Amino acid sequence: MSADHRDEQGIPRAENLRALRQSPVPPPALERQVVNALRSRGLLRSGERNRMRSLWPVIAAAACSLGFVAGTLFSRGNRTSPATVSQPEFAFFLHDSPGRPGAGGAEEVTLVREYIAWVQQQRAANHLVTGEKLGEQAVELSGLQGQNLREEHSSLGGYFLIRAQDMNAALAIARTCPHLKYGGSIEIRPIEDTSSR
Amino acid sequence: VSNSSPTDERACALQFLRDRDESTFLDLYRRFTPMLYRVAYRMAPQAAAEIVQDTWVRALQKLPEFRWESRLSTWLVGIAINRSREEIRRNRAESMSDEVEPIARAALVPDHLDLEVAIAQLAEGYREILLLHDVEGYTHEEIAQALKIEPATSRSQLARARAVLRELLGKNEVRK
Repeated sequence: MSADHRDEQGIPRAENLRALRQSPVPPPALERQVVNALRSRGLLRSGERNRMRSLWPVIAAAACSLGFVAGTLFSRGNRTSPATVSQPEFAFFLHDSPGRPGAGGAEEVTLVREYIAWVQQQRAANHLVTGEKLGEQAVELSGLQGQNLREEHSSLGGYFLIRAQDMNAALAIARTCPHLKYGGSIEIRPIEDTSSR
Repeated sequence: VSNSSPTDERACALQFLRDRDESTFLDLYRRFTPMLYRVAYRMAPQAAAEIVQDTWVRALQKLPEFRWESRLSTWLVGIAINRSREEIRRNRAESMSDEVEPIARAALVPDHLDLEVAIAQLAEGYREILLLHDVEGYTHEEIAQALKIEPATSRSQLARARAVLRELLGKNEVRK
């Protein structure tokens, strides 16, 4: 540092000290590192997942306001056993994607509308059996006596139970679900008919 | 000091406490991390990223208890300084004794002593005050809140820090 950068007392000029605010800058990778550290300690939730999860009650409420009976749209009570229906049933597990683009205000309204329309459609076609939103808390129990308890964040936001002729038909229905359009993924699992065993 | 107003800081932090949402956190992160990183880097460069990470972890753990008696940035920098002190002590214990360190430090002083290196030569306590006041722009009252000391202590420490800095820079001219 040259003497020009100091005042008459030899102290570095204020502007030179303040100029040190220009650097160093945090490495870009630090942001993700911090987010991961916070998530692993349960201090942070994924914003994207929260948004998707927060939509479930909105969808249900909006559906109700449009004349649906909540008990028949998202009810456990009217579920028919696979043994008593002619068509097999498939569980659609809706996973949220942390990397999907965030929905803004107007986009969110559109998404809710699309969900309602989709639910309405599946119900009219007699495909929809039931659906539920899952709570935030995810606790995994393992070990012979369930001694291992692990609380973690799950990407699973909810599920639908859908009637379809076969897996291909179930896939075709799933492909129409707006969940995919907004970056989420759907895991499709056939419900096994154990009534004849 | 962060350019955001205390009201903005508070609104953002309270929003975060309500939703624990990643995007709300990133708003806080991007406001304060550049300052936290600079301070951490100048206190313990080898562990700056780790210090910043731990600062956020501790801050989010304690945020619900934060009483808003200071600005959020003041509270955060206090956590970062404490974490830096731990790092400095750990390194000291691992590498060399207190007696050896100043000698080693002096030997490492390069011929061309710039301001950064001179600051790095300051004793930990002086460096903290000089960085917070002269580089980051905190007031003595804010430094007192962050470091849990009296404002008068901050003032006297700064005067000493500046005197040592002047000496270090003068020493360089002699060496040159």
